[in-house]
Amino acid sequence: MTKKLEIYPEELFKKGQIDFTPIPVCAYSKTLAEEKKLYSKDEFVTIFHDMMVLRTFETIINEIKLKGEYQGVKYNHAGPAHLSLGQECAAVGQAYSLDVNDLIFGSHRSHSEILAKGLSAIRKLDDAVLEKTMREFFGGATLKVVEKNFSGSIKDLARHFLIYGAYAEIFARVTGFNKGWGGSMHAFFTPFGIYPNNAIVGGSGSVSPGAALFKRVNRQGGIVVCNIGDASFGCGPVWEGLMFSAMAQYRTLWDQELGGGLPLLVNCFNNQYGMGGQTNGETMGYEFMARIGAGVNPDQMHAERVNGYDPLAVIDAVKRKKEILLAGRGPVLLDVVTYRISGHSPSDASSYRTKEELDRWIAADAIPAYAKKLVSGKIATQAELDKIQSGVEGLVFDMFKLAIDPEISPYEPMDSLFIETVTFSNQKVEKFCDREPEFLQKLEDNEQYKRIMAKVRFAGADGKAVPAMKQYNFNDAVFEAMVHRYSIDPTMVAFGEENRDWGGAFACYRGLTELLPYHRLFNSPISEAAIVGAAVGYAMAGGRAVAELMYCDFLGRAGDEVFNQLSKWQAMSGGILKMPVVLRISVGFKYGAQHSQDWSALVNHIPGLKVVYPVTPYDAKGLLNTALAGTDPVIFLESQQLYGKGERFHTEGVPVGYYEIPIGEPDVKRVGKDLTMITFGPSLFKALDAADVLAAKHGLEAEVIDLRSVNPLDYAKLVESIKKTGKVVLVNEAVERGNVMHNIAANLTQLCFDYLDAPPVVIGARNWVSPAAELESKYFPQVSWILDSIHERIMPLAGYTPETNRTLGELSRTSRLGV
Amino acid sequence: MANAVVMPKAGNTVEECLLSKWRVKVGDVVKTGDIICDIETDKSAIEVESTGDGTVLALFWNEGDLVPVLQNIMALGNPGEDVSAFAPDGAATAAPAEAAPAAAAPAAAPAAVAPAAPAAASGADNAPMSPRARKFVAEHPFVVPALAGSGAGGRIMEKDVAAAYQSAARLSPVAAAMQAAGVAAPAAGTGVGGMILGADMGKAAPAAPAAAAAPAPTAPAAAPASDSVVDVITEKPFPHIRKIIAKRLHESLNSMAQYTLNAEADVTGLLALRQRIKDGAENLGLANINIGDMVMFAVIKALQKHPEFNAEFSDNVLRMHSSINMGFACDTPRGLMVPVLHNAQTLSLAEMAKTVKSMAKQANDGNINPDLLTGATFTVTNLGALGITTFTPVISAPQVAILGVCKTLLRPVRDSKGAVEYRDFIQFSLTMNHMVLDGAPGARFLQTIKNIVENFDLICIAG
Repeated sequence: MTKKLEIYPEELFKKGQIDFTPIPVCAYSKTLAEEKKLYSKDEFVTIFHDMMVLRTFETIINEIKLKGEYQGVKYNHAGPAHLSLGQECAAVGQAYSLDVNDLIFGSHRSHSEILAKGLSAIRKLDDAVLEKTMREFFGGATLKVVEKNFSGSIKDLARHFLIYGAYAEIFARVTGFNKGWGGSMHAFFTPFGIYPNNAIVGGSGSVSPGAALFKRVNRQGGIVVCNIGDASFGCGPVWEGLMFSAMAQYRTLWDQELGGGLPLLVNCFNNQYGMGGQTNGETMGYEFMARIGAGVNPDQMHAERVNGYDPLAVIDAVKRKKEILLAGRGPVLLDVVTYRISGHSPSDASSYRTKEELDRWIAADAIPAYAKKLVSGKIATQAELDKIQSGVEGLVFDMFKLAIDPEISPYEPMDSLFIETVTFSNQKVEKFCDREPEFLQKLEDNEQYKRIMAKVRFAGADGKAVPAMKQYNFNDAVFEAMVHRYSIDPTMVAFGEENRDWGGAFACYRGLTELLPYHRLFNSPISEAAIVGAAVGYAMAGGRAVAELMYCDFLGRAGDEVFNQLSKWQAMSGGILKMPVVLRISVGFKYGAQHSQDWSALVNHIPGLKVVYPVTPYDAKGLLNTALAGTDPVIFLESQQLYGKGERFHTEGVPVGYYEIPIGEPDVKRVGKDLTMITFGPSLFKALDAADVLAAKHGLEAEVIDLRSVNPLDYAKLVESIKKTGKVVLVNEAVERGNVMHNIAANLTQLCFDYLDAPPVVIGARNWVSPAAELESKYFPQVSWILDSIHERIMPLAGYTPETNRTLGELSRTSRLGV
Repeated sequence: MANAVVMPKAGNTVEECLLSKWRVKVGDVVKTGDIICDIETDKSAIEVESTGDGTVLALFWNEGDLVPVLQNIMALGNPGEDVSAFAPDGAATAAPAEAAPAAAAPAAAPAAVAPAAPAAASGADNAPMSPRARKFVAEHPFVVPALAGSGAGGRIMEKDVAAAYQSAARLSPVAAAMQAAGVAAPAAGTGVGGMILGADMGKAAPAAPAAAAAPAPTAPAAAPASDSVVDVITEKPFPHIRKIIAKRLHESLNSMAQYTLNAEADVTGLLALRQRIKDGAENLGLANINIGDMVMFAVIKALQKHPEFNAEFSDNVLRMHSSINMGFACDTPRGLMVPVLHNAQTLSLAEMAKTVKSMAKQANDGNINPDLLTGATFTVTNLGALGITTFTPVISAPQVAILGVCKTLLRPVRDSKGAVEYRDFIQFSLTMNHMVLDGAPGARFLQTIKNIVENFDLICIAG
């Protein structure tokens, strides 16, 4: 949405047609004579060398998976091995044209891509830089292995390092590129421009646009390559990534000095199969994968099909596409036709293809074909190539032997708890770049800023001391925290649906449109997977991102991005990557079954996410400040019931200045001695009302504790309270079954067992779909539910008549029925 | 180098001790001689000192465990050292309460019992008891009567057992451990305030007042020097109550400037009155009012005129009480006990004498309510019957004075006509805290007592 783009009926209704331009298919036609002018003999031979490295590397893995040994060396590799034998040529051709600062993202089948990119980067890096990189990587642990008894050039040493590091990672050794925490499907090495591969099919499709965004916003050179397979184009998140990277605004609304369209090469290694599903003719309808580009934008993504069995054709194509990207006319789609002569994995009996088909492709194998071309074209002799081949085979085999030796390449001693230190990086980083942060106006001139500064920052204990419009509210807290970090970290960007102009669906960003240039705050397509995925890619590339999901209910749309990407990469990278992403998620009400759900239990369940849910302006600003200064992914839940509410607890008022509230520390909102109520989210206010009734009618002093965070969570204050009261009720607005409060209640039962006078009682919403606004009081926890639960399950309240059925019989009944 | 600390053998007859409180936790650094835990036998409470230096690496028993003597209770060493080898059989490091010390105890031990949930012995009905209530019972051992729980579904909660605790017979730590092991507890015991002692367990009714523990003769430590006389050392470990008395008396002398004034009063008249009361006791129901009662009554009257003696002193503040809570020392089989006559100023002489006798008997029998042993504002101690003519009683802090009553002596007195007459004089030894009370006020207080004693009938008539 922007007022800059006006819409006219006469234009929209004008008669006409959409014209497509022809999409080239294997159009490369250079003769050997032409090619000899482009490449030196060394360069021709290098291509052969690199293909041989890739072939040997995976042949060894294939042999040990199938036979348990290679040339007499026995090894059992328990983990996965998704091989790309047959596809080496496409990988080497691509890497040949990429510079070190061109970043590749991959798939579950990316061994060849990372080796090819690594070999390319080693050739292009200065020796001194290369040596420093290796020496500093994990304190030189990986280098130390290959350096022993080595004599030769730095570049040769680096090739040992690359092959060994990749093997060690695949075999889960601490000397691997990710200390063994990534493994076969995730191995990567960022100093060579090799970014994460992804075991989720199409996983890089939504993540890599974020890295391209980082390059644009932060004026970094180079391009980003998203290497995914043909079958992944059936994945929604891949399509969302295409939509996100092809947004017109990069070239229409953004400052053109930044460079225009995203520098993203969506590169399909089209090996014809998704496991066994045949994409052309069976599981997809595109016939030519490159056709997809025509549906994306007027440039048709500059789509083209390339012969992936001719390395020189691939080099030529990537070189041309890179020029388009650097000129700001991205994104680009390449359909690199290739074939996997190995199975999908060692368990693959190839029941989906004929022996004849396989033999046909083995006969067409690109490596011998290329060797023949060099010999017949008198570029190199067979003897020269044989010598290269045997040298490569010896090198790769040696590195394999080092990587499987448990003395030289040990496993992670799991009791060291290393993984706990990288699940969260727990750092504070003020800014990820020293550039001056970009603003469109001075903060003091911003109308929203002025409005907020004129507000009253404490609303009284009942929230009614000043008129609602004059209260400093939750939205204002979000605004202030965002502006603070925006003003310090130039890499910080925020995006999501309706973030600009509208100011976020709930107006937290009101005023930021005037304050910030497009590239720091923009509207995304309604593509939750792409929104979260881009934030992940942006953070991987080195920036700080704030992504927004308009409703918690839409979390499912970003399921993989939240559950497998955002949460896992710090740990899967062995601590190499940081994930400074705040994912603001609004929890709705009044809008029915698909707009009213608190899914804190889902995110709490996933390792690697911090989960907070502030319900007061003071807590919101302090926690968002902390989240925005950190290096970990934070799920920042906000309740739509509370955006307009003022501060009722922090009597000094919400500070104008900066302050942080540690994530994981509950807050006692009311002190009492007879009963503890623990809340997460807006149920705090129901609990406080219940506490009023308990005090007035039953002479009981309830202590009310607002968790604020569920992960991490320091139980000390909760335990202290229960030791005092012996009785505890936990309340939030998520459905009762699988509620995060059950997790906390179970832990408290263990931590405080001997102090409990009754079992902890969890009160959540009914295990139904949420009803219409008018009926919500029968669905979400109410004050009466809390009192009823205390009466039925903890201690009968004298003279009290329950309004709802909170008995154990009812608990059994609803559980039995699953409702 | 890791090493272990063992449960000391706290006396020759002691086979096991109750570990009542850990003073250290895993990770603490301790030195030889540091107190690491409190233990109790049925007669005493003991502080256990560390026998080594290092970081506490493991505690092998939980508070409340009955631990056989000479078993390892704790391991010390450098952080990270493996001390599992020190773990005694059956004890678990940081074990939850149900971990049972196995039967590794010496054979003579009356079974190293597992401190199971005390609620096993709870009231007759089967009402569920909350963990918190169980914890209360574990920490306040008593015979839990049948209770109606006030929680949901009749669950017994902490407040229910806390209320019952106020009126029920309490269990000594050893008795509690025995109860947990399944030994039945009687409804009342022979300890102070009816406390059920280990010796009472398994018996149907309270036994006679417990005799002092029989001293156990032990073998001499070395060969006797003389060939004919064998020096037999008799060890008598202090019971818990004696430890408390000793500590309080020592603290009293340490913290006050105590001095004693002696005076006497003519009780010739009082003795005649006492004889008349005795003669008329049957008719008037005034049996057993003796000279000591009358003197105490006189002191109560005197205190009403000298409120600075009916007082407590601490933190440089003198707190004078309007109520006179008269403590009176009793010699009992358990040692010195001081029952307290609360609001003594409201009692008639007859009421006072009757109550004093009743309380003295309870103290002597060992079943006095502990609440009647606290709260004195002034104390009287009487050694007259034992022939003492003068002494220096020790003040019970934070009181400011104590009156010692001594033997009555016959003295010649010259009357106004020069004639000599023999009269009876009772002796008083008033010890005071000079920090609070100087000699003159003390002398005046004694004069008041003397005056009341010598005009006792008139004072009684005056009310």
